[in-house]
Amino acid sequence: MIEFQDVGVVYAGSDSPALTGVSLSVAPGQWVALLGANGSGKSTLARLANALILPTTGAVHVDGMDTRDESVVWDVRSRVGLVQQSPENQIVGTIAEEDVAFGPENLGIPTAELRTRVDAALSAVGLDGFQRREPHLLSEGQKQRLAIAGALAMRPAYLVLDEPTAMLDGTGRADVLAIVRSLRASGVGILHITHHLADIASADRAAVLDSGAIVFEGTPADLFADPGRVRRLGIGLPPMTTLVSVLRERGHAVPATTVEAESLVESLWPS
Amino acid sequence: MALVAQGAGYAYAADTRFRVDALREVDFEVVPGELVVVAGTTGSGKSTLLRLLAGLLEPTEGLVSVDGIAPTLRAARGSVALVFQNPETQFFAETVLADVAFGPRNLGSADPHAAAREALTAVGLDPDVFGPRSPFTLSGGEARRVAIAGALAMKAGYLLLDEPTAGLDARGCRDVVDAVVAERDRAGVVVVTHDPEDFLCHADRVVALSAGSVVISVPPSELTHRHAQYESSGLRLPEVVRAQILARQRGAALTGVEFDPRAAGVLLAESLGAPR
Repeated sequence: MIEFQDVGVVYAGSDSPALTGVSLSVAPGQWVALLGANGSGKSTLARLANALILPTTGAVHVDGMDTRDESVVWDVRSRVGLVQQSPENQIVGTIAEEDVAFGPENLGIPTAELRTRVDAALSAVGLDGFQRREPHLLSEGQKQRLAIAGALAMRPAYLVLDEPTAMLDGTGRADVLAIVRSLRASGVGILHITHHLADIASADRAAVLDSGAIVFEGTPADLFADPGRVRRLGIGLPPMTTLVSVLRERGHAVPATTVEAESLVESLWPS
Repeated sequence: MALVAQGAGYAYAADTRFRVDALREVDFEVVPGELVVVAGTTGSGKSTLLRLLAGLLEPTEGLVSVDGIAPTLRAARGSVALVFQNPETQFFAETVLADVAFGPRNLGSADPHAAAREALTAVGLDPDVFGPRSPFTLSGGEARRVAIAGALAMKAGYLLLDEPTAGLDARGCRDVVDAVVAERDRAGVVVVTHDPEDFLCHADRVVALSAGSVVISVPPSELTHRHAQYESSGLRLPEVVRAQILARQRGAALTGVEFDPRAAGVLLAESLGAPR
């Protein structure tokens, strides 16, 4: 379990805290979505999870290990993979397989095991056969999936995804969300940071950060069912959610979390 | 008065075996007072088209002209302004006002600060509040609008923007869309994007690019009749529009199509009648 306990962060040279009193947990096999506007503290929370930064107050524990304990920092980082927003900034290899191998190779994993891990990681993100491909020839969506494969090759127990779909078009976005679903099914705990409400309809839990504090925690359905609150929290409502709320106000039976046209039509005009 | 491409094509590395034909025989036009959205997936040629229209590239076939002059010529300089993707990464001045005034100063403006103040006001930022601030302390939406103001301050007749809302949160997105749409009153505006949803309901015309060619060029309201072709270009209509198309396929009697989600909800509710 990743546990944030009453965490506060104040960056050096800053007057105002980036986070205050944040408590949140991510269990194995759980998909926790964290929403918030730009500047709300989402990326700070992401970096706390694998000890890239340390809490100023409170504590972060990963499977019981305190991230402030220097003797466990590498153990923490091998358990918690972090994928950041711009894939270009985290691709280091000249071909895809080298890039994915970079992390585990540094752990001293033997070559045969490395081969297995790299191929499995590329396969998990749908990049089978891309082993020898040069990263700069990949599409944005493929680059983001490559960055995720790099994290997966470390066999992390938890994956923190910081706005993994921000730079992607509709197809790339759907691909990344499908990967998140299958990772959850395989027991990986996921902290998914985003400002797109539509991305989190299938998450297990949702939390909202506003000015460094958690102002909502519950199920995605709770959040979708209260569009007024979502808007007040500075999160964009998917246009479909507005459409769905008009139908729900008029008594039509549509789940509040409906974000795809197909499922809406299936609810209202069953085939 | 128009920014025009006629039979324009562009090949990268044209004289080598690495030749890539990025655009082929593209006819395109935008006139002042018009907002055109160019939609296409990665690699469809949309950024190349933008560079041709801005005069950063010369077409390898056909021609591009701005009010009758090739945009690469000195006589046309200043008539087309281009806002690159993530333009806020190019800030360099100490204050927002100095950054926005840089363009008009280089064009020999008599009063670059006045031009900068006017441009900041146009994107909804009070020049007295934001002018003295460091451009590196702004929120995402504010930074993007300052970068757009930098282009507006040059008072170009045509404003071209590459993915102007990418990476912004809801509020930033809304502010940038409002600022861009407002520019239609004084310029011809071209927005290039792989995700046209934010701009569709404001656009006068939607141009879809696929593999370097224009496959659709229609007002947004006609997209529903062309949705199969639109989606085969790798593009996706907004879910609220797709919902109306799918409902119609299931027999819902809908008149017209709504891009506004609330209006779309009302339209669907009316066709359903009272809930069972």
